[in-house]
Amino acid sequence: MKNISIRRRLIVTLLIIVMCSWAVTAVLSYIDAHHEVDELFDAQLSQAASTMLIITQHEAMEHFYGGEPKIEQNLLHQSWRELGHPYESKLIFQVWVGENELALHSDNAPSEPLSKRKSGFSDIELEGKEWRVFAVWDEALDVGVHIAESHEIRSELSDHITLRLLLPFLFLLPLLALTIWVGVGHAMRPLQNIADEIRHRRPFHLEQIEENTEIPKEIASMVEALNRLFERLEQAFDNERRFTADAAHELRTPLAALKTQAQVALKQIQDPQQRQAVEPIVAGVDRMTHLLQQMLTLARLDPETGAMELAPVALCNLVADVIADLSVETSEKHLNISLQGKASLQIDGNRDAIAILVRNVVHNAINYTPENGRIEVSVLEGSGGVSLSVEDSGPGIDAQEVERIFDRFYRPVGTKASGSGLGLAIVKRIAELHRAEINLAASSLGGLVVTVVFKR
Amino acid sequence: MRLLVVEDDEMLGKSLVQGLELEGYAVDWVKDGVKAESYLDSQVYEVIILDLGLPGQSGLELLRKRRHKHDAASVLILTARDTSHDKVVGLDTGADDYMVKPFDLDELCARIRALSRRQAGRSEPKIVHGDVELDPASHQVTLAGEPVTLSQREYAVLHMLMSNQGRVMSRRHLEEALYSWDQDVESNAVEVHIHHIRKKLGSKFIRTMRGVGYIIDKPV
Repeated sequence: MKNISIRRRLIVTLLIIVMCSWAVTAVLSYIDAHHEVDELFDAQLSQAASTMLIITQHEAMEHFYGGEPKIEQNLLHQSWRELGHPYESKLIFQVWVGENELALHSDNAPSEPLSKRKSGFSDIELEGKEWRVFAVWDEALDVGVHIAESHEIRSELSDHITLRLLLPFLFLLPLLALTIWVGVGHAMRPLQNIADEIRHRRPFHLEQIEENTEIPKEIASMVEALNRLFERLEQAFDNERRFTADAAHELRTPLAALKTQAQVALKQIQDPQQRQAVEPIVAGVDRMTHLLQQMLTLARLDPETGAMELAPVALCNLVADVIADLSVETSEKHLNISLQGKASLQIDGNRDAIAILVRNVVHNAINYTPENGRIEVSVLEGSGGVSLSVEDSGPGIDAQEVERIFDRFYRPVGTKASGSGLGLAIVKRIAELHRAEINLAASSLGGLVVTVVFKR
Repeated sequence: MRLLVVEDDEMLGKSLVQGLELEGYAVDWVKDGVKAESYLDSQVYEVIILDLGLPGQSGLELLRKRRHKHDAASVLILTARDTSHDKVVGLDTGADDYMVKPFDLDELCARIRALSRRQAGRSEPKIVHGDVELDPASHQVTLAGEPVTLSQREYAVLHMLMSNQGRVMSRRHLEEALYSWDQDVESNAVEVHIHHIRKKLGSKFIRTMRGVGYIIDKPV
């Protein structure tokens, strides 16, 4: 699923709204301009016609009283026409004396009257074009003037006016889009910063996000909600930690009582057979103590990581220490254990946690390797980081068990070695906390090879 | 030697008392912090085995108060709290040792011996006087290398006197060190034990200070 982009949505919505209002404005201003232009041109037309009629009346009067008629086509000198304007072709006039005599007319005028013998405006079609006609008639003198103007002039003008009005929008639209793009990006930056900050946190790092003035109001409420969530989570972790501590106390004391009681009994029993009956109690308590210890380790690794200090750890030295600690177990089983690696290799980690990880992996190998077997431990530097691998000549594990081996309390089928089933779960947890990768594979020694890669 | 066990768990307290008495210690047991304080006010104990989570007042509180009152008794904290932070706080409040439950009884006894050794200003585990040697770990007493069999009470009296060489131990003091409060003490019990010890180790080994008590002189 693709997520909605606020930026795109805002731009699209705003541009649609702006374009719609632009279209409405365009239509309205076109109608308005058209109307105004019509009015103006109509007025001009009627004025021109009236002026011509007055002159025609004057000439007609002179003629009536015996003067020579002066209204002739040749009154329009050729030289004047040359000074004319191309728009003149869009104007026609006719001066009629009576209904049949076309006394004066423009070059492009038809021989037929442009309109009926009636004063007023009308629209006609001439040679495929629309014309606006105004006619004035003096009934007494029987003279009339017809003037026609092409509609083209009017629409050209009103189109021009409308276009002029709307042209700036064409530049404004991209500018608007750009402004929104930049503005939204700017407004969203604090959100991105917060997301980055949280993404780069170590797991279980539950510190509050700083609420500063740079965070916009709208995002501040989200930050506040996040902080409240962090607080609740931390509280939950705290409760868990306290619960674990309480549970440990509750379990440790009865275990101590049981062990002490068994040891007191052992001090008073001399009979070897009776001793054999009591001794397993002590061993049982010790095993339960071990399990309890592992459970506590696992539980404490969960919540305490927020405070987990990371420091450079010389892995090879630490592994050597752990192997030395386990030397009693290795010599008891006559295992041949070797360590190979550069002492200078360092990783960033929590020393105690890494020691537990190494101990559990090596201890596992010791546990599952039969007597006189071999264990090879190596600390190497690879392309991905520093890797710790522990190989053994034990029985190894089936491919389908690899998935489950890290589960809590899981123990492989047919296991003879004792254990709690928590060791590798703890290893996995510690590896996760250090963003290390664990791989299990078949070893060339015949058993299992566990590799932990601490990424750089 | 007299010990106080402060432990609220019934079963653990009972088996601890049993185990420690087998080692020859006089053991008193209290289950809460307030009662422990009144016991400590009325009786001198060499070693206190202290639980931290107690009803009444916590073990740490009790410890702080005792150290404030300049109580010099050795304190061994025996608790379920296992973090190093808890250990640091416990030791810094004035405890001499710290053990986490569950523990090994033999280890606890060895630590108690170490504490009493340090209290007596010694570092070597065996107490020696002339040709008499006392090993607190094994309860073995030898005279010129030959083992001497002593009863538990006799051993306790001898231990008390030998670890306080050159100091007079009153009869009452010895009685208190030998018996817990709930045990009946016969009026001449201490005299009887001294008599037996003299028979086994020689009559001049323990000197009687009439009306005061008994003393093993410092070797010249």
